[in-house]
Formats: sequence, structure tokens, C-alpha cells
Amino acid sequence: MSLGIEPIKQDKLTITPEEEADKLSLSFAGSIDMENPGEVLGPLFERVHNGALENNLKEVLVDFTELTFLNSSGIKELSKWIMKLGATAEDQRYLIRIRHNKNTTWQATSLPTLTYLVPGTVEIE
Amino acid sequence: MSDSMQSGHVEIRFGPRWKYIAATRSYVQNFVAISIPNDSKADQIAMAISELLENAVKYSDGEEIHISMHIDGQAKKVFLSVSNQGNPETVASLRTFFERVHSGPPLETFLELMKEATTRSDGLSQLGLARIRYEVGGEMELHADDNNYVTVSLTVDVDAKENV
Repeated sequence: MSLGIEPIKQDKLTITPEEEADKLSLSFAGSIDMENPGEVLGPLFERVHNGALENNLKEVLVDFTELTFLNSSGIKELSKWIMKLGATAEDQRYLIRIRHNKNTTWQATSLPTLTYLVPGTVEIE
Repeated sequence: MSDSMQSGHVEIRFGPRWKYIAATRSYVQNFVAISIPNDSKADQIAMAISELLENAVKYSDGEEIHISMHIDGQAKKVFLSVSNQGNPETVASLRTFFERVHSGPPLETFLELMKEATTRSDGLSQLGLARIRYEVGGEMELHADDNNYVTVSLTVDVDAKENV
């Protein structure tokens, strides 16, 4: 499998992709508080989504434990990805597993909300 | 630090520049954290300020954003407000949207707006106020004077049970 997803470094945000066998992980560090995070996250999530479907991935791990802040425009981009996954035929869907730090207040309050958008598409660990 | 809550007051004015928002969020978090014994509440208040500032910078018609924060140790409440110059159009749409944000249960409204945000093509999220209402709680009010100077204020009860 090769999705060809490149690492991203923009402003205070670093995103490190890792591909291993049939697993893909995206590790976020820094903060998502730019005015338009969609410029970075939109194309990334689109590529991850299409690559996951093409490669029949069962799961994409999104590690937010090193992310210090996520603004509501960033939440919008995550929501778009989840809604797109929700619009995919159920037998082709993969799971978005979000790893969070429960000791970081915004992570404990904001991230679980994403599981309600399309039940069954997102799990929080 | 003792468990008692200390009173304090701060006012900040800055030009509407996006790059100042993160610095102000960090300052507010530190300011609140040294006054109240509840770190997660300080984090939530900093998040709320950040979201309100993002709105103020995006929609400001003037050069200045004004932040006021008062911590009342006796009442165990934090009062904060963010003000900016608007125009008749932005004030009218903010009033309508403010009503929408407060129209239903906090979580359901936030989820509805999250779903709507995914279909927006104008680059806006319009999630900040609903996020504050759901994650921080408290009482949020909107005021606009005859000159379209807009103030969004939030009163947070430090001892209140959280929505989330």
C-alpha cells in the first residue's frame, strides 16, 4: 500500500503520516488555529479518504495527543471528512479512530462530539 | 495555590490581526488559571475567548477589538466580553444567528450546525458560538448599540456542572 501522503508543516502545525501494512496513521502536533485550516486539512482528508477506499483500509488512526488547540474551523474540516465517510456505502467504509489526550480539556470536550455525527464511523480512544 | 478563588480584572485592546488571537488565548488561560482553582475551567474560558476573537476579527469593520474580563472571587463567576465595530448587515445576521444558536438543546444545536457547516462554500464554519454554548455553558448575550458596536458577553459560573 502506498497512499503517497506527504508530511505537512504549516505555521504551528505538523502532520506526520505513517503507512504500515494496511494501516494509515496521521499524527498531529502543534495547533490548528489558522484562519482557514481548510486550505491544509481539506486536500489532506480528501486524499486520505480516497486512498483509504482505493486500498480497502479498515481504519485510519488520527492521533491528536500532541495537538494543543483546534479551532471551530478545524472542527468543520473534520466534520466534512466524517460526513463524506458517512455518505460512502457501508460495506466500503473504514473507521476513523481518534486518539486523544483526556487531560487536555478541549480534547476531552470537543473530540467525543465528532462520534455523534455519523454513528459508527468514528471511535475515540 | 490555595483553593480559594481570587478576584481580578483585565482589559485588552488590539488591532484586528489574526496572529494576536493565539497570544491572547494563552494570556487569558494563564490569567484565569492563577485566579481560580479549576484548570479545566481556565482552558474552557480561553477556548471561548479564542472563538469570540476569531469572530470579532473576521467580522470587524474597525481597527480595534476590545476584550474585558472580570473574575469575581466571591460570586465565583467569570465575566468576559469581546467587542468590535460591526455594520448594519453584520449586526442583523449576527442577531439572527445568535437566536439560532440558542434555539435548541446545546448538543443538538451544535451537531446541526456542524452538519450545515460541511455544506458551506463561503469558507466560514459558524460553529464558534455553538461550541462555546455546548462546551463551556454559562450565559451568553449579544448587544449592539445604535452605532453597530457589537459586544458578545459570557458569564461562566466556575462551580457549575459542565455540559460535557
